[in-house]
Amino acid sequence: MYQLIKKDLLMQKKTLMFALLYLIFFTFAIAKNEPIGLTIGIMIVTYMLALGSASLEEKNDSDIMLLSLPIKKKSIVLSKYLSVYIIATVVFLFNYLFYLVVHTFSIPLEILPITYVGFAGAIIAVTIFSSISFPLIFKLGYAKSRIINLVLFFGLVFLSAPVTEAINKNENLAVKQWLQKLVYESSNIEKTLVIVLPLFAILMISYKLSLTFYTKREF
Amino acid sequence: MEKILQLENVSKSFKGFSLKNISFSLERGYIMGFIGPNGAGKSTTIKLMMNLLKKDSGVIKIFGLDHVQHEIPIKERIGFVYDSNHFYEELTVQEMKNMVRPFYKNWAEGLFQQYVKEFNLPLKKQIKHLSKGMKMKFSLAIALSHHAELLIMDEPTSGLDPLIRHELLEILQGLMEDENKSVFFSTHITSDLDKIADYITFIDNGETVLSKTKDELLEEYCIVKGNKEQLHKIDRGVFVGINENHYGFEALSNRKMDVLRNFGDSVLIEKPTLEDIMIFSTRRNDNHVSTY
Repeated sequence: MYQLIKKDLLMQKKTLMFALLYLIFFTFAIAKNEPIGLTIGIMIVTYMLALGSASLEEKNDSDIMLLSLPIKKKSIVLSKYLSVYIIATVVFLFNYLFYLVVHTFSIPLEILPITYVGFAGAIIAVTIFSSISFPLIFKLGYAKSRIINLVLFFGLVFLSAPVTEAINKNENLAVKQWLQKLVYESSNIEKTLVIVLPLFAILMISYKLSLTFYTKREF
Repeated sequence: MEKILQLENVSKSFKGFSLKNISFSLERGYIMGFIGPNGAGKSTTIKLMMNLLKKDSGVIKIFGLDHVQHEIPIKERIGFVYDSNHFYEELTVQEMKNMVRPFYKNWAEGLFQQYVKEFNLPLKKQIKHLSKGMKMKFSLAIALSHHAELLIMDEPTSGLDPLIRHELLEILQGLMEDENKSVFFSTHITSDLDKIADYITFIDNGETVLSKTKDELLEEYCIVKGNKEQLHKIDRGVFVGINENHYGFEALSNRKMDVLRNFGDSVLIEKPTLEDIMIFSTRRNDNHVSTY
């Protein structure tokens, strides 16, 4: 499993450099949009790398090689899901590193604040994205699912900021009241039940779908 | 003798092409040449063996085990070389080897390093910068470095120059000194197999034309050459295919003894090459007029 995740990153050496530049750009360019800025920054870079490896795999027609090795299809599918969380965590740590550097050396730059809400948002976002994208990729391949994935991705990215803003401004919105109640009045167990469990269920359904599609797919 | 590879009535249908009841078997310690023209179904058969395609019906056993139920233990004992590169072109030879290595329980690093030296493989070079010949050699080094008992090769020589093809054939011959190993080698360049194959399986248009030892094949088949008058006296039923021209004919027969008995010295009888067998058999009985 570790080898499969490692090769996803190794074969994207050039993209990793771009990813770092994107990261620096997001850290400073969207510094004002806290905490959604951190969420968007982590999500975009993670998504770029996750889809990047799928694209290179298709370019090399490497499923034929991978599936000729003694590797279980389950390991291949699971490694894709795990790699998303590993990438997201590394991206977060980079953000944190920039934050520390700017603060430690009192550099006069406005930087993306590091918040748990921002990171949690990113984890929720990458979970939703990978839960939608991976089954499509395992079923149709990268190229055929690309348009659907891009529409979903940009749709959600561009909608996330105005939707958050709308929720912030409108005090009477039922969703906002429910969210406020959840954040300020609910216990940790309730929060977990409401957010983590449905998310986990989505992830599990997505993983099972991906595995079924990949097992049935012919090369 | 132990059957290392066995296909029984394997069928698979696609839009516009079907593989129909393919059957053959290979014993341990031998090389089987799998021949047929382009589009005959060779790669499809190999993909079915590797479970990259799902068969519609039939039985595939490798090392006596069902190829789907025991997929992982079977793949531990198989080495594969495909017609084109499927390794990650962005990785270096070393990085790719390091990725593959942990998946094989019997990986022999010393053996790999030996092949690296023998094939002059540049460990630090990205796979995309290797020549086609080098890519094949890298693939072969990976296939040979985990004590595989069966080597499955799908058109490994296609697009390679004669020198590298010759080198590959020598490596395979050397490999066969270990009587425990078997090779399944698909190609449309039949001359590759004249020297090394023990068995020949020939498929055309998704069907098995023949599957025999090479010696049996060369014993049963012959090329018959004669003039036009002789052709009129001959029962054409003894021929698999005939090539007629203004001056005479050339034909392939799979009944060498009948030909010898009936025509004796009146016609010229020659030993066929695998290419002759493939060409005449795929033309079937269409009388082909040559242009000389």
